[in-house]
Amino acid sequence: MNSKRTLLFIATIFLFSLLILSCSTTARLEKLASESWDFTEFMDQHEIPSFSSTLPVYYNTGAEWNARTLELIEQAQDYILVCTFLGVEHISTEPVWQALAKKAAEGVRVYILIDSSSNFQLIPFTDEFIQAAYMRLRELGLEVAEYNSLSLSNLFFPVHLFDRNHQKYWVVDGEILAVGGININHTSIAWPPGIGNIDSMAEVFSPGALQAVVNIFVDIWNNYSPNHLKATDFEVKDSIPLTADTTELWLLDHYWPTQSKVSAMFDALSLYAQDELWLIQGYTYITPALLDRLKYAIERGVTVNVMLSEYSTQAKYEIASRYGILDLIDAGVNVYMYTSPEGAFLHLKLMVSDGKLVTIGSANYNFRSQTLSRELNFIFEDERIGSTALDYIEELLQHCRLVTREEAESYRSFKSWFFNVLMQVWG
Amino acid sequence: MRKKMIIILLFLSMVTQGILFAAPWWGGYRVAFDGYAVDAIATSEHLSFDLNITPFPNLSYSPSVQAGLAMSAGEHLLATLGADIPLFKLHTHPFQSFFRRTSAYTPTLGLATIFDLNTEELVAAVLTLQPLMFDFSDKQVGILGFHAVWDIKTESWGWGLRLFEISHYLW
Repeated sequence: MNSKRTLLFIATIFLFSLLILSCSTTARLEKLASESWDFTEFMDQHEIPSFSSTLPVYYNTGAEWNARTLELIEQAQDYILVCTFLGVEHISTEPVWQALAKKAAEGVRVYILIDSSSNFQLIPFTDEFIQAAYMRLRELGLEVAEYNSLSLSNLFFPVHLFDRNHQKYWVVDGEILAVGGININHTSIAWPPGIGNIDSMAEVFSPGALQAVVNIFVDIWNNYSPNHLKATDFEVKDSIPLTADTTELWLLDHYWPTQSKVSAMFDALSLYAQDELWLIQGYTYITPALLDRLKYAIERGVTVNVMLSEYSTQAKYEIASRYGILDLIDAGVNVYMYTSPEGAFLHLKLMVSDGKLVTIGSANYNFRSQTLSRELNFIFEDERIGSTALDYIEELLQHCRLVTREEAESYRSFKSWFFNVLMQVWG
Repeated sequence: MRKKMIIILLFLSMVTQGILFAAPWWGGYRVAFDGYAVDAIATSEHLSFDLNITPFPNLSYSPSVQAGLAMSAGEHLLATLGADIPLFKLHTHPFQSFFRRTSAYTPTLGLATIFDLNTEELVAAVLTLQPLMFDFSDKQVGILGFHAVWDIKTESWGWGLRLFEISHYLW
């Protein structure tokens, strides 16, 4: 009995500590505002590095990005580093795996890092599991590492268990860096067929960011594969052509607790918004601290818009997400629901403040991204990039409806609350 | 004694939650299941928990140091202190297909001392050969290791088996 009590006490302290860590108060934001840092100073203070970069080129559906990856693989001469949260064995992903295997057989170094969550992927609208890609990749002769395998030994270390690599990026020949939200799985690239998720990868050439991402990849790889790599073996092209349009790119590499950066990015979006803030992601798993950031912006007269999506392929995720809509509306947020004409899910993670501050990558506006999801985002402070992002949002708005308070109320139930609580750590 | 050990282990488990994500790994825990045919040590099975530290994680053949407790079925508690080193590392090996994850074959040789906490005496020195050890980077798994045990009390050699060991790096 004493042992049980001790266990319960420790578990309570642990969960409470996690909640405390997620807390953000208006007072703290006000204190940050009183520092009067400009955006660059703010990022410096939070040790988020910046690099010169070309303007990003966007690929806006899973199918579009899949076609681009096949092209990039075909062009690769030296190496390809792929990091994906979800990688599965499926008819839709096979062309990518086959193309990578072909290149590896030709002597191009190919390394693929996949999170262990891939073992728990479901076929859309069913409870049937789909095979993760690890074994298939090894059959094809590819080098693959599984990030933090969900094994029995991890059950005793819940924080360790929930440490997930949510990053999605490609590095090709030290010249191409693409970061975004698109996985190499059946739903990302092929549901519905021919379209995939409405989601984006942003492709740039940035020697500094490329080097940083190569270092990130090698560090993670060496932690999960006995075949160790050296970052110096992956050459990065060292200068951007003078004719290219350039911008400043802040690279956010988040892992908790030593490189906890996502909360700082959320603070920046709230602090620097003067007029309009857009948060676009399929689901919302909002916490009081995240809501505070939005309220802080709203109280200063900022119009805050959140765009969510219909057509989730997993009902539980959708039910959980909808629970939080009422909180957003009551805080003064305009909540839009995207309904794709083709039935595609909006998996994009895009945040835009005043048409100038833009972030795209793997991070969602949720507690998991603030803590135990390892995330990689591009952040830009550039009106050219902001304008492109707003144009794209305008396109998406063609298929959106504004969610009313009555509708949001109808989503409230014990079941949706329960799933919402679960999704705070799982989703 | 056993309850105290469980509480200590739970406490250690919670403490380690906050210091994750080192690169490269340098520490974690090791669980092993041993049996001995030595007078100084009870012949019943021993389940051991060790703190496992790799002081030079950047080296390809870095030694590891372990300190911990071994528990037998009869409330017999031993403290152990030791070190081991991989003998070689094969990235291509015949056991690869047994595992979902990429593995390297890394037989290890270890040396440890055993203290009996009940009698507060140093009772044995153990030389361990782990011929079937597999490295997954964040974990190492070994089965069917062989112990050569020097019984300090009787000044004679005995032997033992390590049925399995799992090292799991947490930071």
